[in-house]
Amino acid sequence: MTGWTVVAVGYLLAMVVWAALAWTVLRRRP
Amino acid sequence: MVRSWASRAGARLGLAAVVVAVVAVPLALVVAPRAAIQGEPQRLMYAHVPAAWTAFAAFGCVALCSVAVLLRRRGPYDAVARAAAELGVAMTALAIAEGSVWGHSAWGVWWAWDPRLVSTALLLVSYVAYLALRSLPGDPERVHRRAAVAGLVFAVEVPVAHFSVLWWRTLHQPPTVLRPSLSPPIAPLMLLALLTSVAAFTLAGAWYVRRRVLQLGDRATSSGVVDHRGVAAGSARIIADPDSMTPASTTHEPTTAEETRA
Repeated sequence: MTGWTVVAVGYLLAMVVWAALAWTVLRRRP
Repeated sequence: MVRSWASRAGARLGLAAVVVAVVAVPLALVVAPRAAIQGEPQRLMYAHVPAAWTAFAAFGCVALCSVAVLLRRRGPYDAVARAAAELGVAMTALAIAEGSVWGHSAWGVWWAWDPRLVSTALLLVSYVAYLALRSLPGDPERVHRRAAVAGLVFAVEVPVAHFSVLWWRTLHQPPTVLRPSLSPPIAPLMLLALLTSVAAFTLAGAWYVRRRVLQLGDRATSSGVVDHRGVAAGSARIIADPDSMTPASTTHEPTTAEETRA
C-alpha cells in the first residue's frame, strides 16, 4: 500500500471503530 | 429532571464532537501540507496520534476513578472506569492497526519488536485483562475493588509506553508535540490539523464514556446491583452497622427511572 491508499485504509479503520463504539451506546436508549 | 439535563448535555457533547470532526477531516486531508519526505501516508498521523492520545487519557481516567473507588467515594466511579477502559482498549487497538498500516508503507513491515510497539501492545493486553477481570462473578463491592487495584497497577504502563521512544532506541519517532522541549518541530497547519483531530477524538471519547455510564447505570439499577448514585447494593450491606439496621434504614430510595417519571 502506498500514498492515499494508506490514508484511506487508516481512516476507514477509524470510522469502523468509532461506529462500533457509537453502536454500543446508541442501540439501547440510556 | 436530572436525567433530562444530562441528556441535553450529552447531546451537546456529541454535537460538538461531530462539528469538530467535520472541521478536522478536511484540515487533515486537504489543508495540511503534504509531508516532504513521507508524502501522503503521513496524513494517517492525524488519526493515529489522536487515537493513542485518547487511549492514554482513557487509561488515566481509569486510574483516577480507581483511586476514588478504593477511597470509597460515592459516585459512578466504577462505571466511569469501565467505560473509559472500553474506550481505551478500542483506541489502543485502532492506534496499533493504523500504525501497522503506516509502518508497512514507511518501514516495509507490518510489525516490529520495537519498544513503543511492544509497550502499546502490552497496554492493550493489560486492559483487555482488566475488562475480563471485571466480568468475573462475585460480590459487586469486591469485584469493583479488585478492578480498581488492577486499574491502578496497569496505569504504570501508560508513561512507559509514552516515554519508551525516549528511554530506548526505537524505530518509532519521538513525540512531536508532547516533548520535553516545548517547541514542536511541525508546520503550523500540520499542528492545527493534529490538534483539531485530537479535540475531535477527545470530545467523541467523552461522549462515549458519558453515554456508556448512563447505559451501565440503567442496567445496574434495573437489576438491583447499584442505586441511582452508582453505589453498589453489596457495599451498602458491608458498610452498614447491623445494630443500626432499623425499619427506617430500609426506606426505599427512588431510582433514576422513578425520578424521571415523577
